[in-house]
Amino acid sequence: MSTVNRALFAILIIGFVFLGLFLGSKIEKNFELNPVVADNATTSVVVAGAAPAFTDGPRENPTSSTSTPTDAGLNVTFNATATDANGDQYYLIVCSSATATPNNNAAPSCAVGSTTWCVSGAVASGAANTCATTTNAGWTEINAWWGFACDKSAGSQCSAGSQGTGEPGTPFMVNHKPNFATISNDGPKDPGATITITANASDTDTASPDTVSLYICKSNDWTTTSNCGAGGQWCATTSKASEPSCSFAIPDPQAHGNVTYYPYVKDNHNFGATGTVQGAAATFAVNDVAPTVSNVTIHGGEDIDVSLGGEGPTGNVSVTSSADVTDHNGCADLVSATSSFYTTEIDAAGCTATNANQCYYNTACSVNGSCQSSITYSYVCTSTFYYHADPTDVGSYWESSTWKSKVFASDGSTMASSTVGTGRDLTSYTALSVSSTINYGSLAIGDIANGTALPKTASVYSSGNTGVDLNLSGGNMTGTASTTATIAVGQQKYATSGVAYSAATALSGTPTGLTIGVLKTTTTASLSSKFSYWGLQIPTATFADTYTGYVIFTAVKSASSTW
Amino acid sequence: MKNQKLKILFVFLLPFFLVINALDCYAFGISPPYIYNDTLVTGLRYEQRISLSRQDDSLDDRVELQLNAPGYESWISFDPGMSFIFPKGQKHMYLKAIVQVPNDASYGARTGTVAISITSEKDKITGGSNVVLGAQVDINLNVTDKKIYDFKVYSLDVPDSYQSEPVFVAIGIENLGNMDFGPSRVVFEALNALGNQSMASSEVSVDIPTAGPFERKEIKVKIPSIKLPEGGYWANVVTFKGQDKVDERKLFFNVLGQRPEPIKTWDDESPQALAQSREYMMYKAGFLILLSIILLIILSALIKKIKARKATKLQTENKPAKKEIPQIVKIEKIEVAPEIKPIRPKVIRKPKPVQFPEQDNSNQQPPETK
Repeated sequence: MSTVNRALFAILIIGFVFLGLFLGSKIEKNFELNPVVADNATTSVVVAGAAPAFTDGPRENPTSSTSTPTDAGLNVTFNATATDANGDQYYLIVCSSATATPNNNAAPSCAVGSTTWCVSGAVASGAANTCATTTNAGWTEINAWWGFACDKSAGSQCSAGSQGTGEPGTPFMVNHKPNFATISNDGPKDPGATITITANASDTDTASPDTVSLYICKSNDWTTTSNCGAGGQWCATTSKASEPSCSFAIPDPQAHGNVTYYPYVKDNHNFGATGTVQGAAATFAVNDVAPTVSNVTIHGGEDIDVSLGGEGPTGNVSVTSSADVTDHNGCADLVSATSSFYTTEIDAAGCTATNANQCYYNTACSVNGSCQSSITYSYVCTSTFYYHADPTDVGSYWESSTWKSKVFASDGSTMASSTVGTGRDLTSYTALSVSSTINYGSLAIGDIANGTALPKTASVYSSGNTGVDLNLSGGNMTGTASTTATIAVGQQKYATSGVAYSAATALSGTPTGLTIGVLKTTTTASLSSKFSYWGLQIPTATFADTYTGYVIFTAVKSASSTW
Repeated sequence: MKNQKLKILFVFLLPFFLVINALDCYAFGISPPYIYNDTLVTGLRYEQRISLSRQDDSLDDRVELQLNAPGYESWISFDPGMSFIFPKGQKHMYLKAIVQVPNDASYGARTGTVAISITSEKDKITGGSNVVLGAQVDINLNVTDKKIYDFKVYSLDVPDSYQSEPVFVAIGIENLGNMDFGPSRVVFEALNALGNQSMASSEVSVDIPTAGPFERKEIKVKIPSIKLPEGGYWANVVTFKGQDKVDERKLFFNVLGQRPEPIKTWDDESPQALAQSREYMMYKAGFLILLSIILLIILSALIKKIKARKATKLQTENKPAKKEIPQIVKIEKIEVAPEIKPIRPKVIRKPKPVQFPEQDNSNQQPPETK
């Protein structure tokens, strides 16, 4: 660094030093302005008998303002600091008017006709002083005030009234409880439906103006700060001028009957409402909705085959129907389900009592599986169909009909039902029952003449669900002792009545129709039947022996018109 | 007179009742008592079950069939046959009638009968006529050139599915026609568990399986675009035939969580899954075949090599003179580089000593064999 540069650098440093000193002196001068003012005040207090003066406040602490009013019943506290030139103690008094009256060596009072909000005790000059007043619901919302500092001396004097400044200054605000007169709802409603609960509530405070909020709690656990507690909330609405109402969807499922709730109202300053309704248990009503039945099936979508259960009085098969039953009051609300099975010939309306032909009525159903989504049970209903249930398949008398099922469900108060969409056929079952033998007894040649009425009978029963005719055939009868001895098959004759032997039909090896016309059985315990009549004429020169033959009784479904 | 005195005696082995109780009778029945189809087409195979029932199952009974189908007997066959045993202890059995319409069958109606009789040895008497029971099956067939497209839905199910996987619908259809046929369109709507809010809906109109003529079949329709989160849902399924709504049902189903592991479900039996499975198996088989070929090539190469070595060895054993000259030459080469170590393993592989010509080679290294 050259000498010149060094010199310049030194000059620069010196310059900065001087600049610093100059600025420092300026700042010092500025700070000395206040003491100059104090000097002026001190000069003024020198006058004897002067009133104390506020050096801080007066103010509300905490602030009681439009936005932060003081709830009725709570205190409004005033703070102030004053000094007395004579070093006397001083009182703080807050009045509703601009005039305070000093009392020598005693607490001051407010002017006659005004309200003394509060008076403090005497404190030393320069010390902070405080007084408080307890608000009550009877006070007006807006309350003006003037604060005074009055010295405690023989010649007591009060300062000029001060209303403070800004929000902590006059007035103080009293927040009143909202009025909550009644609570109501537009129920009863169905589960899942929207219900509205309305409170007859409002707030008299108009400065803000105050609004009201409604909380509908599930339990009695509401607080002004946290609202509904752990029990949960049905609904809430906030910041309403009056008549707050809120809505919510009733749970689905929901048991029918009254559901308890707890209503609460507060204003926008979190001040809970007054009145007996606040937090008192109330209820909304849920309707007892009817169950619904869906997805009805019959016999798993299969045709019904009664032959699987066998023929005759004991012949029966199980036929099922199934359905989903839904109750929005919950599965527990479902009481029972039943089913009817019927032909479309009579339809559901005609099926009012079981007759085993066209109608199987009031079959009990049982729950199949667990409750789905808390609202739906599957039911299965099993009925016993007898062998003579009416067929509806092709060629049957009821060909144009089908079998259907209808499922009824009850929740104890209402009944619902639904019918399977597509019916199923019940197939024709042609079955017969015949005595095991035709025993002609002991016959001699000529015992059965041409004019003799057919002496023997064989009963033919319809043990299925159709009318029955016969095809009859047989073979020659053969001797027991002499196997070569025979009686021709045609010597056996038959008819549908006891006609003369000559008028009857000779049995042959070829199946031959006999329109015997056994009707369809309609009563479970009693098979429909007809007699077939038989006779055997022994030809001349027949070897004496015991002869045995056979007759084939073939059941033929008779014309449906004859059933 | 001898003839006049002749009496034919029929012995009553059992009391004869004028009015008999049905329970004391034999009983036999069939259901349905017909083989019926009025929409057959040429070349078509049609099957129908006939249920046979009897009252008494204490013995084996013989069942005999007599077919009377003039001019078309060959179309009709029966399973288990024209004569079979109704086994003891069984009150019910099925007979299957199979109608195979020839390709050259003429159009028109055919009627006929099948007489079914059942012969029991029980309570057979000597003297009088034993009763044999039977029942007649009426045959009513009609061959037509009319193509029938029709079906009805006999069942519907939405099986539980897994989260993030497509939903399937199992539709039981009964083809009432004589052509392959099935639903033309399936509309699926998933509703929430309460059934009051639609969650998703989709429509499928392609790749819907069909049922053969007169066939009852449960077809599985994949609803690819519907993948629901875990939970319970209602499904509203509408099945269409052309533009006509054939069936509409609402039923509950569950979507389970994530599929726990690749277990076999009916889902896996879907045509797509089966195709994938087949493809995978083919890849697997192809890989195994390729591996086998490579192994065979290696094996054959090894065998060749072994055979060649054996042949060389035999040559060495049988024709030692031929080896003399090259071996001598090699020995001379080794002489040039005496510091090279002999390769012992190769010597070990050939335990038999190599014969050398008689000469003085004491100063030489042993010859390397090859």
